[in-house]
Amino acid sequence: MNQSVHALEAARTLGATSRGAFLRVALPLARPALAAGMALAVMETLADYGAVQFLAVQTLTTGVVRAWSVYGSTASAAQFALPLMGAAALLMWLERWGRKGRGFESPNARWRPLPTTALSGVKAWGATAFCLALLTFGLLLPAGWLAWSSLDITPEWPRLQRAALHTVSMGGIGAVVTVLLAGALALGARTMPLAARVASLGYATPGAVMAIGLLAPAAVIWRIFPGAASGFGMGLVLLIYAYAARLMAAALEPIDSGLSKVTPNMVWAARGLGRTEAGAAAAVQIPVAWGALLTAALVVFIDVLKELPATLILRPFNFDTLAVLADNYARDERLSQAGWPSLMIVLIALPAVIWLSRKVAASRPGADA
Amino acid sequence: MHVKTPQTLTRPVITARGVTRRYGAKTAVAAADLDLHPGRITCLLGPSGCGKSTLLRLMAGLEPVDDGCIEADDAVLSGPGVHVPPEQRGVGLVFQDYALFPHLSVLDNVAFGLKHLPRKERKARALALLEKVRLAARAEAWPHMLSGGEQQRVALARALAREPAAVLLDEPFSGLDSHLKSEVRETLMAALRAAGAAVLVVTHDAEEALLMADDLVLMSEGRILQAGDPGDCYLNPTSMAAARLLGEANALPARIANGVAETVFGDLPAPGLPDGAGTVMVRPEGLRLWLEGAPAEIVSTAFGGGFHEVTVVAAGQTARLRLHGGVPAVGDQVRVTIDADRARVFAA
Repeated sequence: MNQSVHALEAARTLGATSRGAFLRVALPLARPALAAGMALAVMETLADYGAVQFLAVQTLTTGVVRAWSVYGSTASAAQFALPLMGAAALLMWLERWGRKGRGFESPNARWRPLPTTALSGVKAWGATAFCLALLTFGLLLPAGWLAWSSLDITPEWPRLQRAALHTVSMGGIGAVVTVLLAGALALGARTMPLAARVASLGYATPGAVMAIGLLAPAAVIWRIFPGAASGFGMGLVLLIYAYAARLMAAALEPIDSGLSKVTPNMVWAARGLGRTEAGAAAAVQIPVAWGALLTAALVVFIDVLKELPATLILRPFNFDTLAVLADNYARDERLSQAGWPSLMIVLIALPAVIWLSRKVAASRPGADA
Repeated sequence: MHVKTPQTLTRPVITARGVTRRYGAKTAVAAADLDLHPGRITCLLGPSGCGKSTLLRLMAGLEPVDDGCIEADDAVLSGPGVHVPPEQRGVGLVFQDYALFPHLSVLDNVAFGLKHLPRKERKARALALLEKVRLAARAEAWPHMLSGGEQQRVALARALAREPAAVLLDEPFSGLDSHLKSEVRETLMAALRAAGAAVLVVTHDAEEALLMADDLVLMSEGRILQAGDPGDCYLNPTSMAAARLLGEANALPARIANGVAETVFGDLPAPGLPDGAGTVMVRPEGLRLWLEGAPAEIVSTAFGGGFHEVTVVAAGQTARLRLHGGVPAVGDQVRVTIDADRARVFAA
């Protein structure tokens, strides 16, 4: 979305029609971004567990979980996990490469609000219908169907309530921990970019792989200090750890772009005015990036809400989140009952999603944020 | 008109001796010496990429030196194995992009460095500083609401808040429209003089440097070419490169023999220079159309406002001069003399 209006205007003055400017300038300029978006979608699909598990599609992810849970073999789980991680790392590299888009950026571009065109007649209806279709088939139809079929059934309220509480608190703790770590990492990465790159690899790792990978070292700790950490506490810590590791990249990105609003000279100015490095971070960098920190926290929160495989594997006994509950019901073929936790996830996430999408729309350089 | 403090009467606030900074194979600053005196404005002039901003950053402590040392009051700030961080140097900084904090009001920007004062005092002092740069009325505004010139003045007030012994300004006027420059410059200079600090202004604008500087330092390719009085630097550059930094200069080939340099436009004294080939540096205003002199032909003219810029050719040698009054025409046959006071001879 970060395209300079001037490039489009230049195309128009060079004889391109509005349509031509879109086809010959805007679209090619957006190519890296489109590739990146595609890579991201493939990455998410690779990592998905809940849907493929429910629809009994054999994928590498379900393979990993089955190898571990049914056959108890970490080694064969790793065999499934390796190509998965390789593919994910490749996609992530592709996505990064696309986003960096060397040569596609407009370094000295000036930003102005993109001109909006008011459509009329068939075009207007067409555009509205297209957007509505996405919304309908993506959210309204499935959510409506769930709601419809769930309404007949009395939910198991105590169970649902407990799961909702668990979900929100795990989301909250996960968001705070991840953002703290990502914030520290982003500040440090201003001087050591490689560290952030490495930490972001977790994003490419499917949750199931991450969880099983974490269990091996955890088992060692359990063996050494059998009494030290109760299984419950340890499970939660591992879970938060998995969330933080997996979602680090998702949190880093908004924080990083928030911090980029602080020019190096601003930091030097603060230093020249008597602040230490940490003092400058506290007085300038963090306040300026505050909105970005909030965005990052919400992104992590939403992702934790719907996270399934890692939670399923690492959660302490009898500790259900809404996603786990929905999965349980679905496994038991109690689909209508599964609707309740699913809808609650949507309800909890919706305000955050709306806030985020407004934020994203406003974040284009030059937009009045 | 302010009265300049004679340089020799004061001790420098900060001195740099043999300061060197390398980036890989490239030497950005090579063995530079620089003295900043209290109450005096030193302009560091050079083309972009010559290392002048790097030298400023070294003085401010934003980067360590690779060689040489920077001292203040006999304490080493930068040197082999020593690096006092910028927050402990007592140096005020004004950046080219002003680097105002976008999340703080104008007043809070200025008060940023006054953390050690109680809140009330902090505010009063910040307001007084804004008064000095004639911006007290905008104290509650946000930085992005200000014009470039106003942001510039806020940046200066902020830098002066801690009463630094030295203020370093990196290209402070380059972001401003030209019609604003002189006005902002006057406000800025007045505030800087009143503060009594040692001031270093880094700039690539020769006119600006000449107008502002008490002491002028010329830099090119990481080296200091010349330092001294601006007028002296202008009229007596030590090299052709130094001459070019301060404005247009004709380089005329000359033959030196027995202490006299011969050019197509006339002879000049060249005492002590070895016989052989040489170069005569002469400013455009050092060449005059006169009743006598070398016959030359005008090959191009351009109207420059208060003058015409005229290119003449004499005996195959091209030179540029400025003509105040009269309307020259291309093809005119004229006579050109050279003003010995405005020319300088270099041995080739």
